[in-house]
Amino acid sequence: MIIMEQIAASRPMVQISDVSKAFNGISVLDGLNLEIPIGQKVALLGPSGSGKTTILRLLMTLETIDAGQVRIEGVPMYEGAPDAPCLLPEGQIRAVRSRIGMVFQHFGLFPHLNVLNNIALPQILNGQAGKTEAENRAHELLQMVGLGEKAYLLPDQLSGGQKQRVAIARALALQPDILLFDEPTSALDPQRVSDVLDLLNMICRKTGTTMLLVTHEMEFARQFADRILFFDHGQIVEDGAPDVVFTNPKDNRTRAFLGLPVIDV
Amino acid sequence: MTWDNHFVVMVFPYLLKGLQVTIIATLCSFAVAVCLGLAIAVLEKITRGPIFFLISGVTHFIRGTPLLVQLFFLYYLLPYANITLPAFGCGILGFGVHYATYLSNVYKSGIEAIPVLQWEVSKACNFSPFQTWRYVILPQAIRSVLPVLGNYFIALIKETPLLSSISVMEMMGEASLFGDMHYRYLEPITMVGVLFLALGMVARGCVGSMTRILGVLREKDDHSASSLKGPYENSKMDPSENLIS
Repeated sequence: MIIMEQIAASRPMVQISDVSKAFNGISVLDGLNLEIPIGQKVALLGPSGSGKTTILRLLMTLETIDAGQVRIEGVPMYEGAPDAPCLLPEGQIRAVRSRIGMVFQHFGLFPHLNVLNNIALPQILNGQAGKTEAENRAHELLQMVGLGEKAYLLPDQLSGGQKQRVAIARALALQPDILLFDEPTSALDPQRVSDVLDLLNMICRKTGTTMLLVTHEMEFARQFADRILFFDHGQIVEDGAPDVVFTNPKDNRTRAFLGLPVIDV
Repeated sequence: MTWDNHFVVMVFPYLLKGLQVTIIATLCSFAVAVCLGLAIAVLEKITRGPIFFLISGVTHFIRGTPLLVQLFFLYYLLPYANITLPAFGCGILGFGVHYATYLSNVYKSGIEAIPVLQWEVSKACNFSPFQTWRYVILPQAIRSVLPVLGNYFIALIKETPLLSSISVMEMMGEASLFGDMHYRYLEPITMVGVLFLALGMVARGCVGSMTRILGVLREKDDHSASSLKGPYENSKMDPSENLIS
């Protein structure tokens, strides 16, 4: 039994092997390899167009890969040859997808449902809870994100920061093993950013969920993450603990991005 | 020819009988059109290849030929294929299918107006394709095209006199029969016009308030919505605008 647990624990939560992805012939990811252990909080940094968001989107199966394999705790998402991978059929991929949740830059709340149902409906449709149970959990989560009073409002009646907190509550309600945050604060007014960051920090401390965060908030990434990945042109040019990456990065592209003096080779 | 109120009184009971048929035919046809149109729109979105071309080919064909021709086809030619439908049934089928092809385009525009993000979020919430359509896409799409559906409903009412050409005795049929019998057309035809005007106004009122009610009661358990603005109150899409006819 103990041995089984050790094997399970040694399996990375996310394993991306030799993954390539091109959009209209322009390569975004080229032979990328990345392993993320269970429970790790990873911040993905780098200039726009460097492939950070693409990684989140292909984990969520919003994009498919051109080559390679993606495994979620050992379970492959693609079948067929590695040079021509094919996403698993809908029934099978749904089981894998149910372990992953995502928070989007532009919130994506359901505008025709009130805040409570935005959080309750996904639980109900996934068969995780009945109506009453789902609504109770939604109320609890709304309390947690500080929006207990807003349960019966429509999304349009909320500010950007409030919408994003509802979107985070909705993602949490499904209790995923992996949470993906795609620039959760970049569509917000500067004064609303801290609300969302405080919430993320709290979730980060409270749960053992594996998290991947794409952000441009350097200071926040440093507090939040166990590990920083710095991307440039679809490649990981820096990979390490926040203190190391921020104070003494090896790569000149990272140094330039962080405004540190470039080292002459 | 001078106006004679005597004939107005005489024709009125016939017209009321015809009015019932007009209303029932309109409601039945529109019910067929609303359901079939939605089915066509969704099928055109989820199929590809030969099935897609078949569906879109058939709808283009129906949309591109006159309704009167279709009604004659159903009523006079189907019996040769040993399919005999009552005149009223032909009318409902003809009107329903013809308008379904128009409404499918309306639904499609509503579906296409849904942001891609809604599809992506549905995937992130792990909804099946059916759940995504049922709970995310269609509720939003249908709500946004309600005013346009209302316009088609009003247009449909005004086309129902075509039914008289296949012997359905709706209002216009009754009026011309009365005219033929009494050699008196002024009052019957004028009254039909007046009654259609009244019917149109009532329908427009119904469509308007229905759109508002459905808009405000987006959620039956949305306690606060009644005190707040409905989504269509400021909308540019007024049901009385862009009236097709």
